[in-house]
Amino acid sequence: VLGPEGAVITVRAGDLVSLTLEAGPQVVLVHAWSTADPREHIWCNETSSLEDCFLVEGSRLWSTMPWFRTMLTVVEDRVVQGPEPGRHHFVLDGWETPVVWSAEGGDPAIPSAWDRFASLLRRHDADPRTHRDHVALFRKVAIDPSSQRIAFPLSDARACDRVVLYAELDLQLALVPSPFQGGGRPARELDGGVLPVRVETWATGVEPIGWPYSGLPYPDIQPYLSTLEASS
Amino acid sequence: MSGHVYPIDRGFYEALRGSAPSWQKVSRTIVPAGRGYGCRVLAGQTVRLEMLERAQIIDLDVFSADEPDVYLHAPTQLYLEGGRVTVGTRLWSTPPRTRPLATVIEDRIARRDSTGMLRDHKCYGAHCNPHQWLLFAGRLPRTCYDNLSEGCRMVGLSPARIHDNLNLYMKSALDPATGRHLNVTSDAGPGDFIEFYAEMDILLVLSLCPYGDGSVVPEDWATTDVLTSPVAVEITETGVKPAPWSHAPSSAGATA
Repeated sequence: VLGPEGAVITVRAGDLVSLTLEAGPQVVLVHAWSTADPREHIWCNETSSLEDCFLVEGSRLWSTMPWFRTMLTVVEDRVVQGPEPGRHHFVLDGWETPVVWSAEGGDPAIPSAWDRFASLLRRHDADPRTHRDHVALFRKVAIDPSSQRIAFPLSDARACDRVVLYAELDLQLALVPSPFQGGGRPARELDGGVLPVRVETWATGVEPIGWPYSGLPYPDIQPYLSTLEASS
Repeated sequence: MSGHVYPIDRGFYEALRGSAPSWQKVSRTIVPAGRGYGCRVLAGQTVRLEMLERAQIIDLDVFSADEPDVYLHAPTQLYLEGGRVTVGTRLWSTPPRTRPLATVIEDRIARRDSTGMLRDHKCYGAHCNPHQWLLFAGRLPRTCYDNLSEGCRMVGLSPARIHDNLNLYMKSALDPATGRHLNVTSDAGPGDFIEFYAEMDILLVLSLCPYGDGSVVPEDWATTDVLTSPVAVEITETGVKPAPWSHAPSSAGATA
């Protein structure tokens, strides 16, 4: 069960990761990187371009350049959509930073989600600078059509709702429950606590579809990798 | 809840624009169609990106010149300012010391069509890359990833520092009902420009996207020529120092 500090879990290609809400709506922020090369991690913006900015069953989470391949696929989403406006599982996330938390009236003594990621990654010998953004499971986001500003009302997710992800690669996942819990409340009313979320991993024995997909063109990424290695 | 936590001092920017007659041009560079570019802009200078032949999508990365680990942070940008980029929009940097890198002071599109949900300029969507062009077009132009790499090298940065960028002159919206990215042809024409005021010394890295003016959808890239155009980059010294940023981070992990 995820604590407020979050957790890093290791999964193998073909594993399932199940996140189940035990007590009610709780946003879970997900960052993932390749076990083989931590420079390859989720590319939220490009995922959003390809898959839309709300994840649904069948949505794939794509990795950064130059690899640009599927890291995870949503295979189950039990959240039942409530009243408009807003949809769930926001891809263009990553704004729960210290400054935003503080500016929204959050207690300065309570670590923001960004702080929790930074601490978590350091504890696992991962570079916090690789965490640029993340997807927000169970987050309900409403987009104003006119201004294109976003708001996050209370999530429609309920206890026992779950999202299941299929790992397409060997991965490390950093999972942090948002101190905004299920959303819809200002930071000044929150104490940093989170609602319990059960995390389970399952070995399916089903190998991922080979990448690149058969018959689809794929560029030679070696020159790009060489450039990155030379410049680092 | 979002977008209003740091009120903007509009009077400062009105006074700044009012001082334009005394500004001094520093440089004007024509970036060739389909290429990348990088330059340094000092605090208090403006940088104008001007359309020359027709609309041209520009992918724009922004870094602190002194601390390249401080750069435009797309999620914070979306949260604080919304998806649009226009006059008064500040470009926000990465945590923990989130602060404005630059502010939009002009956004001139002579024949802007504001009747629908879509507008020119957005802060999300990242950049095209060889994978997408090979998939949709079956050929490899210089993609934005290539061009941003070129621009990074011009200012001494590793391509590993490419980050999620602004998409200027991309006329877009996020569909609230589906989350889909909606894109149509830009409204801009020759002479139209967007201008930023540098709130600190910054590095700009840009790509003139092979997507051109956005009029040919990716599904037609293989069968239809996509016209791309050069863009002028003009830097001007205003003589007006940026206002100090006084909102220090204060949460528990900000100093971690």
